[in-house]
Amino acid sequence: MQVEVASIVKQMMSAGERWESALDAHALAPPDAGFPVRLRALSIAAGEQAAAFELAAQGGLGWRSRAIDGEFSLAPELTPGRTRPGPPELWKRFDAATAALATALAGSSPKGLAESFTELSEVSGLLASDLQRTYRAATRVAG
Amino acid sequence: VERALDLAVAAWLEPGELADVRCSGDREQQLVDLSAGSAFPSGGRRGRSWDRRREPVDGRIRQSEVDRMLGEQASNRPTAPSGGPRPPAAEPARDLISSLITDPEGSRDAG
Repeated sequence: MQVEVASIVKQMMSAGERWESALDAHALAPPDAGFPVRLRALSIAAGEQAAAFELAAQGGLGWRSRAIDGEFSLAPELTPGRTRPGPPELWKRFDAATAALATALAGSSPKGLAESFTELSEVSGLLASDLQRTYRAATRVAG
Repeated sequence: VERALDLAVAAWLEPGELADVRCSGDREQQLVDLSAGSAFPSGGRRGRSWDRRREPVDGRIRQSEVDRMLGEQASNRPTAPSGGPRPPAAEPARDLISSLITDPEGSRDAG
């Protein structure tokens, strides 16, 4: 399969922009009703990263491993030990996906990164759906 | 003429092959076929990130086009929402494109 260098760059840049915006939204946010929306954005952004790294892997590109110092976390409100609304089993899966992403970042495989972003996308999407249902129900009761 | 040379060399090469072509003076051009497993020849400096001096042709987008896109992306890059410094969280998971390398085999050999 032929993959144009330009298409990889373009997809990586686009995915990176959305991904970092999603991280910023989590990092700067107070605990509020926007939490499920931020998780949904994270899920979409992680999905785009997965597609971009899949393309990079198909294009034969490599990954220069990154040093992960200490505990890796995507954002304070997503860190274990914080008050995180939603099913604990999903958060456990989310934490495992985050740890797998850290391992992939420290590794050398774009394919591994694609897989870890895919899992992160799936589980954050499930959390977003669950929380959106909960928040909607709470709004109806309050209303 | 340059385009015709590009196409002629592209037709001459097997898929996946890389070639240096000299035309229009000393300007070096290369064919890039990522299906060969590496974007650039293994003979060059190894394990680097995007090398903007290289110019893929083969009737596709040239490296200068990649340069232009990267430049545009960099200049349009948004700052942190508050306008202040970027939050420190997830620093190892940012700017991911900068760690992509074009010659993974060479990088491993060098290591």
